[in-house]
Amino acid sequence: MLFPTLSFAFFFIIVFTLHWVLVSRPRIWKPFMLAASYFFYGWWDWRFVGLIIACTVVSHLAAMKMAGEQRPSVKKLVLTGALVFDLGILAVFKYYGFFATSFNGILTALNIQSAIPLFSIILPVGISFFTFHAINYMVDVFRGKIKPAESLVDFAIYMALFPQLVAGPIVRARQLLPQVTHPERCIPMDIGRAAGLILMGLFKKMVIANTLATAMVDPVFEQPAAYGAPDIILAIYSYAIQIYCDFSAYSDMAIGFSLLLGFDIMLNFNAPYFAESLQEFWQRWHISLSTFIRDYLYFPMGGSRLSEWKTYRNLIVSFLLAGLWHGANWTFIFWGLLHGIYRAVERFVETNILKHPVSTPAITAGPWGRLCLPFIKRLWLFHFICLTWFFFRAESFHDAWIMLGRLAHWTKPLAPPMIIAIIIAGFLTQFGDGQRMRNIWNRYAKLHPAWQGLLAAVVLTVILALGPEGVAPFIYFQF
Amino acid sequence: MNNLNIDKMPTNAVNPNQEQYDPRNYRLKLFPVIMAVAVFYLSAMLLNADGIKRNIELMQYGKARDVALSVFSPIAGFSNRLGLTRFRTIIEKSIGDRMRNEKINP
Repeated sequence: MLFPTLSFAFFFIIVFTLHWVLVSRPRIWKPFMLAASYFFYGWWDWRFVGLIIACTVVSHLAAMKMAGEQRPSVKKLVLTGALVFDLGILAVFKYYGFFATSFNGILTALNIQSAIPLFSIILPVGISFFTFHAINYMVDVFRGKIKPAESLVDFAIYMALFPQLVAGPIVRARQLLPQVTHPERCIPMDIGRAAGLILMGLFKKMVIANTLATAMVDPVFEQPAAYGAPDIILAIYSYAIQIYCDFSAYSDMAIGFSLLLGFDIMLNFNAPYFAESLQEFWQRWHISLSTFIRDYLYFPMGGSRLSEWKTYRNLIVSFLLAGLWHGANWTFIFWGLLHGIYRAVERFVETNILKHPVSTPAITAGPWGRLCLPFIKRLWLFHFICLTWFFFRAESFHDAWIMLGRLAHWTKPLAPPMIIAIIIAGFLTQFGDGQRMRNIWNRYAKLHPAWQGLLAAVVLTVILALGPEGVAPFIYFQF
Repeated sequence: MNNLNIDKMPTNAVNPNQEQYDPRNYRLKLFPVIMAVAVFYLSAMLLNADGIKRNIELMQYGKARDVALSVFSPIAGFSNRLGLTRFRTIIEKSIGDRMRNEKINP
């Protein structure tokens, strides 16, 4: 079920009403919310509800076992077994085809006849998100940071709570589990923020992302050889804005709908294209994934506590796996590798060159340093990110290289001028991230409830009138 | 990545685990939200009645479509008579159609 659809509007009003009717009776509320969340997921394909249930049961049993076990070796064994199960599900459904094709390619190159059989496996929506939910829960229980959920149903609701089920944010168990365990303590929170995020999310998705996709990105990426440098540049700028607006829209709406139900879930985007360094970019882009990778992969590998070279290795490995998480294709792995290498070089420059006592004042002192340098850094970083988006969006390396090659062919631009206005509008939507709109939300929250409802309906009508017909699926559903 | 603490993420939402939870306060806070959501649904339905009807007509033929149409056609008719759907039509005609139709062509 997609957020900006009639079916979701119908679903949400029923769930919202029953939620507030039942929330003071958690014994009834919990099965209801679980059933509603499974219904939300099963709307796409009922068969895959079984996957979430299997993942939930195994992870919870493992957590219970770990909590009651004193011997570290047994705890480690249980954790490993459960991780193999959860990651095994991910490996089979998401990566089997990729690894089989890659392995068969190697065998063919070596003139070996045998091949791994290929199956057509449907990728369940949101599988990467709910397996990461399970992993953070089990690892935190293993580390003693949290206690296991009071009941299987509590944990099942945490795993499947519908606003964040299919495309995140990857909410930590220690943040959401206490809220679903005691839903009677939830209050409808921050109506201004909830309405602001939902409407901003709808605007980003329906107007900006969908228009850029249909008018610019899809046609150019389908036939890159037909376009010259100006259109290729505009197409990649468009994609940079499209993917930000598409994914952050889902997160915004997930947070907004959760707030309406009284749940507080973590921020996922915070104006990423305002970042001056790649490190800062990842503190602003898909925050729930970057902090997950930091806490459950980068730190356990040693983080930056080991030697300098091992730190660079850890950074590159973390980004490589972040790339692989995004999709089963070498282009995603290369995208992660580019980010990893850039971040390693950035760290090398920060620790070995910029801290040098002679070089620092010459670069950053004076008005140049204060005003122009941050702007140049942002511009530089944005273009590096755009360069990596070529590989992220292209179907294959071949397509990506064709697009990059077309940058050398300067022809008359074919893109309609409207595209530039939409790119700028999309870029400006970053001012809606974080707490930047707090004053507007507060003013909205002070209006009479009837005016609040009417104003939101008028804004929604404008959004629906501007966006293309139909709703394209969110890009991050495939991850 | 090192200095980002997810437990201190910027959010102004109230933590439901805080001590300040009070059932009377809860009911007082709940009523305006429910009212705002109800007004939103009602007015959004009336303002977008034509668009919703178009969406329903695009559904697969069957009972669900028939029921939805029989429920929604009178609402769309009522909204049209009041002229409420004109707001969306004006925006669609003035900007929306242009945004929908302009597309890069090789």
